[in-house]
Amino acid sequence: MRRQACTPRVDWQARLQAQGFDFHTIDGEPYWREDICYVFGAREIDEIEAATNELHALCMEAVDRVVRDGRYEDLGLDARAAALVERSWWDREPALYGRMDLVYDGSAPPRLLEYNADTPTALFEASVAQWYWLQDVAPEADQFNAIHEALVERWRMLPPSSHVHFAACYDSSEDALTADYLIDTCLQAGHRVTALDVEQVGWSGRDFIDMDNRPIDRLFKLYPWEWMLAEPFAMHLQGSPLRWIEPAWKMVLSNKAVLPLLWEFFPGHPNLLPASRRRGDLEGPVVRKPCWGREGAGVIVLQQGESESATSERCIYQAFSPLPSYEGRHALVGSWVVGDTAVGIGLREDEGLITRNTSCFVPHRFEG
Amino acid sequence: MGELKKPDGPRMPRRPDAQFRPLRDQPQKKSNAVPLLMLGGAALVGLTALGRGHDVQRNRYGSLEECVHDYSTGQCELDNPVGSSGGGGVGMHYYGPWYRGDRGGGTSDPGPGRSGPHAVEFGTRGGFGSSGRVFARAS
Repeated sequence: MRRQACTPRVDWQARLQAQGFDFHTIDGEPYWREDICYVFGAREIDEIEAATNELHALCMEAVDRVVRDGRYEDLGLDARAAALVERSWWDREPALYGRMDLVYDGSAPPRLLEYNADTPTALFEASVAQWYWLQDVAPEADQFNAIHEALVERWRMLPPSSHVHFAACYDSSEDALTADYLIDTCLQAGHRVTALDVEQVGWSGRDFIDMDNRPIDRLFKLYPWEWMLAEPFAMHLQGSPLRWIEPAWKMVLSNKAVLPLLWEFFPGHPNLLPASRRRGDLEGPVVRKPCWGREGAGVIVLQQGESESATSERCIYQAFSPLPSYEGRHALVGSWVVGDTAVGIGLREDEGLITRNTSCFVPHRFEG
Repeated sequence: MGELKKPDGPRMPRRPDAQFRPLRDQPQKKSNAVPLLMLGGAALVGLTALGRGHDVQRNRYGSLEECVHDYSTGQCELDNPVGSSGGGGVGMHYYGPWYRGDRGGGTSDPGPGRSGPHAVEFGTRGGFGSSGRVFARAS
């Protein structure tokens, strides 16, 4: 695994914008970079792929144990959330996708930092932008990126010609692009779609309805479950027949409190880092993470013995495993799961140790 | 590409419920194609006259005839909840279009005439999305 200088495409901004990717530069700072790329060996890609599949299997088993043993308090989920999780799990409501964040340097096994299982971001960059980049600069090269084909195929799990609604915060350009791209893949799978803003979802007294006042049967939401549960329409969730994508059981995995449970269920697993709700259970430096934090917010690194500031947020602690550094940039592997299968990766890098929403996305290829 | 070497004997999962997921058989790990049909042109239904976050209501009638007396045929729909067979029957009702209502008596009922509905059904929008607005302002 190495970081390599590249020559940007002459008209790279125009190419990205033509695809709908207009936030390649944010406030004058690059978000998408193609003056550099990451290069992996085939063995390393195989290792990431296998680790992701293994971790996903562990996570699915963890959800099953949580539901069977009622471990909701460990996750901070109340009875209402627990009921939604259980119903969706026992009904085998299917999941579409998720993104695991892994620490990997090419030598030690990939290890899970967190699983963005509900509303993962950077999908378009990983699936589309970096694929077209490779086609333009090195069409003969390979890339671990079968995300697009996997998404289209995964949508076919639904009955033919299903009507799928999509709800997102369309004021956000990133959310809008992610939702529009998923709509595109859903259409390519042969389904009908209707898009609306999250705030436009209505309640008729019996059903969630769209802007045509039609009951919504199946809704893909780019909106976190924990936000929905804190909002006025949460009272209608239990009684509604609407089938959500991602399903409610994903709340177990998108919650960082699953990390201590994974360590409890599978202690010493080579793809996991030690984690606990209590700092004293861990040795050495640790990372404190809010259970429902987003984009690195509230994440702090604590050296052994270092005092920590008080927080009202529910947090967990994970053993500190620093991201590999290349020329002062720390690289994070985002590994995508569609359905139950690892299908591709996207790399993000930052000057700091914590990857945030301002961290850059960098394309990759592999050889060998 | 070299010949794939298979292990001797049956492959045993480490856990009884483990599922074997073979690595891709294709010679490459990237998508063969990434076509985009309509990106950026999604049929996002913009704000209608109902707007966001407003209470809305619609009139309920016992028959299509009663509903059409207040509205046009195209504006009346049969009660057809998700999962139903869609057919008429006991307990089914007809509804006029949604209109903005404030539950305090002020309305914008688009009906040309009012024969008097059996009831008014209330609905709302904007019950999801407020956390997203807060997060966007803070980020």
